[in-house]
Amino acid sequence: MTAPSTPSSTLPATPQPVLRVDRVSAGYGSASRSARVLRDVSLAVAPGRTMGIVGESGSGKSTLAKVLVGELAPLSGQVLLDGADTARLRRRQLRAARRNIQLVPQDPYSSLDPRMTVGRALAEALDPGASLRRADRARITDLLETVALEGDAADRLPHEFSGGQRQRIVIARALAVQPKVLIADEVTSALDSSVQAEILNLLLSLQKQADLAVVFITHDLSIARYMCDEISVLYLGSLVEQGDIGLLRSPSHPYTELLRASVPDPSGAMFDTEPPPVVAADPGDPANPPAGCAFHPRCPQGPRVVEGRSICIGTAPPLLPLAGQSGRAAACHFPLVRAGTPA
Amino acid sequence: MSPRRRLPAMLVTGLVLFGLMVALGILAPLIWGDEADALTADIRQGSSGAHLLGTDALGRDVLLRTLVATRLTLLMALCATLIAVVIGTLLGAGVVLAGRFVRGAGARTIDLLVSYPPIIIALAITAIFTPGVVSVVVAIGVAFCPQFARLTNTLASSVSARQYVVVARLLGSGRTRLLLRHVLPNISAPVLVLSSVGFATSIVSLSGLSFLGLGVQQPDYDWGTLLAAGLRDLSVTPVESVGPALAILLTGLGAGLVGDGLAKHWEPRQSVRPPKLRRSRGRQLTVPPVSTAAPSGDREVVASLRELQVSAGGAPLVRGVSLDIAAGEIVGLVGESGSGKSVTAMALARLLNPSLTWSADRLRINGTDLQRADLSAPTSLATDLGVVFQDPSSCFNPALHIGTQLTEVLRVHKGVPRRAAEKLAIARLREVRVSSPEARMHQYPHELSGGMRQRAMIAMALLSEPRLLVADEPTTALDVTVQADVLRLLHQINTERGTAMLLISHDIKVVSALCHRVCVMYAGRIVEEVSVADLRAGRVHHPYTKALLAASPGEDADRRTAPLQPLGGRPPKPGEVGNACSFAPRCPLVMPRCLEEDPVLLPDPDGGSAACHAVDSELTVAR
Repeated sequence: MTAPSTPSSTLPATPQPVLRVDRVSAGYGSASRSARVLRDVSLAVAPGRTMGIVGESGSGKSTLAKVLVGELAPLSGQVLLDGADTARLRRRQLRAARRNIQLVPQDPYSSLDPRMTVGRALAEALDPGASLRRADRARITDLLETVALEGDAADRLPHEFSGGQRQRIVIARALAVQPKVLIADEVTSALDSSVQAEILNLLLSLQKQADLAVVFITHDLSIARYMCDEISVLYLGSLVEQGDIGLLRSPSHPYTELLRASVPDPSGAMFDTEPPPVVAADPGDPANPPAGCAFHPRCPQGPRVVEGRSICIGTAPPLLPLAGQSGRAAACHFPLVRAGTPA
Repeated sequence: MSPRRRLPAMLVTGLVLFGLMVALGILAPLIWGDEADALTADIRQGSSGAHLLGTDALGRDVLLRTLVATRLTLLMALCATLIAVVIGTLLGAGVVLAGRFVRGAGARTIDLLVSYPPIIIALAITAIFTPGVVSVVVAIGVAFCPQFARLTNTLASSVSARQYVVVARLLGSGRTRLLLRHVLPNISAPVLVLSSVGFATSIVSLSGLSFLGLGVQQPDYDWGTLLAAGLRDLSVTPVESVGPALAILLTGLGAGLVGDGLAKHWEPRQSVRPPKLRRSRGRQLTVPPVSTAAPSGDREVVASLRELQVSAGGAPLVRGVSLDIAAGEIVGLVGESGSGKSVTAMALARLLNPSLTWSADRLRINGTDLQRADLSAPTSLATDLGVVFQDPSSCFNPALHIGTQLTEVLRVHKGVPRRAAEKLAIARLREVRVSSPEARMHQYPHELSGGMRQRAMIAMALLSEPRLLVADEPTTALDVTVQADVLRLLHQINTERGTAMLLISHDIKVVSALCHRVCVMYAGRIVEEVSVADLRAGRVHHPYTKALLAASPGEDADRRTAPLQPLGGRPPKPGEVGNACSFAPRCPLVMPRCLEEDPVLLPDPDGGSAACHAVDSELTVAR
């Protein structure tokens, strides 16, 4: 059993969160005419823990990553690092704070400067202000060894490495600054499945060594299940369900259930049950989601399938703790209840 | 390391021409400097032995003056180009890294400035200052700034959006360092190309201004002033203007050739000649014929492939793949990128890139021998086989309606009249559960969601009612709910219409969910063929298949109790495969024999087959 923990309150078992996101909304465009694609998202990650962010394209996963690393300023709400609001920091403090949150982006092919040797890329991470020529070779070799690459890799250019090796270099670079929080944005989606396991295990062992708080963004539920302690499910920019990893096995929100049932099951059981055709509907524009519950047009338990559920069209359900399921919250007027669900 | 490429002839010619001009610029004033200024009584003479290009109004030798003027002209052009490149690049690239407001305003301003012709700006600037070398150089330099700013602005915007710049920012690099370390080095190539072209243009522009009297003043002279003097005497001694005109032309040509040559050198794709269609047949096999990945039972075979070999420039991509697909069967082809699974499928669909060489002992679809079939008329194939590609958004022409593209297949290949074709297309769209199919026919591809586009592509593949559907990673670009939807659709098409399918995927979960039989490919070969029941139950033999299963996170994977088992190493590159088993370097069961002899596919007791010496010996012992 995993220790239950909630986004809003910390149980004695878990340490204080190092990263706290408090009702953040974000979007693109100017402040007055912005397209909001992330609404009221809150979450907290403690050292050594992993928060998974799952959702489909357009769910706001990447926007959330941008807000977390400070590439995009939130329109409202706060990102608190060690209790300090990153938006209120002065320039120098901000630079230090930014170094505390590091990003491992999705595509290892575009995240390394093609004209910079691996050693110089790591040297830049160690001290961006120093000359790259007089870098500390010993530390660079150490870093490469932590990600199981040989020291002579330092003199080579990114194109000489495979996708998996590149991703290890990117991870080494992120860890060079000794961050407290690591944002892993779809880190294995560009990699072959045999390499994927290697990167996932590497991340796990490095997390353990450095007591890192990890935000793990993925569209793959089986990877989320393997990597994460807690899960936040996003749909069209809003949280629909949040809680410990058990929610992926027994979801309360119909959208999480749809995600769960969509994972190709090797047994082929997915062909035995046909979901109602509404689920295949177009999700809509994240900047202008459907009124009420944003999921209602596609919901297999929603107003288009079940009679008398017009509340879903009129009123957006708030994210509320679920009775009887400690640490779980869902934004649904009719959460799925399972009798005798194993935890 | 990239192999050294030969320099393009254009670049060499340009460099030689340009080098000569530079040498002339350095040496000519030293050798002929005084002689060129010497006044003689031979004024306005035509071409003669003493004065090859004649003399000017003061009796000076035009050839010598042209040669001596090289230095000043080149120096002026160099300085003007430097001004344009440095200021333009700093402006264009600097604006990108500035705040949002400056970025937007800067880009607009640059756009505005570009719309004025540089020569007009230059004229305006020279009109303000007293004419002379400095003012004309500054004028031309400043006038060409916007062009460089525009180019670097565009290039820098695209570079600064790349992940490595974002990450460097997170690491705490300041703007100047970002610019110097990441942005400028990555845009240097096109900027250098434009610089050499800019150099050529500035020589012409400088000469133009001097020609107009706005540039170099007496007693200094450049090619422009010489040309202006020559033009005054054009009616008396036409040869006088030949020297400076030729010099301007040759230098401009040299600089231009250098620029184009550099561009070609850095982007060799532009110069690739279209590959010739090559095809070798009936190659003698070095490996004995092996048991084929054959369907169970005696159902009719829809597609049959024997000993397919595909290679790219001598490096084998597919090394002897044999495969049969029975009517109504879904066969999965699974493997890592580079394993040859897509190449195999494309060979079956006869959509191989023409630069690849291929051969096969047999390639039959629906009983038609595709090796004999008329290459110029693939129409029958279009009706025997439908193809679904990975990325539905790149497979439709964005400028044409969905309906136009759907009916094209029927109208071109089957000669169906337009009305009937439309009716059929709408029916197919409805079958694949595209909502409001009539309306969709008049929509553009971008107006459909990703899932709808993939359905439309499946509808297109099914239009001619093929007996075989080749689906190359049909769900990889899709969201997980849409993927489930498309997999259900493919399953339904298979059960209801009996369409056979070849499904290519890197995802062993997708393959085992949908397929009846699975072929695992590694380094261009099928290394194991297994029924899906055995695959689901984990009854696999080849160590590679076992490793694939152990590395993919399944229902029971747990990071604490049952961590994933990564497969170390990497697959061999196409040229690296020798006589040994290609999996040997990564194999936990490797034995001496594996390094000497590549194993062949042999049947195993479960009804599948595996190509592995370790498995063979195990089975022999068991027998």
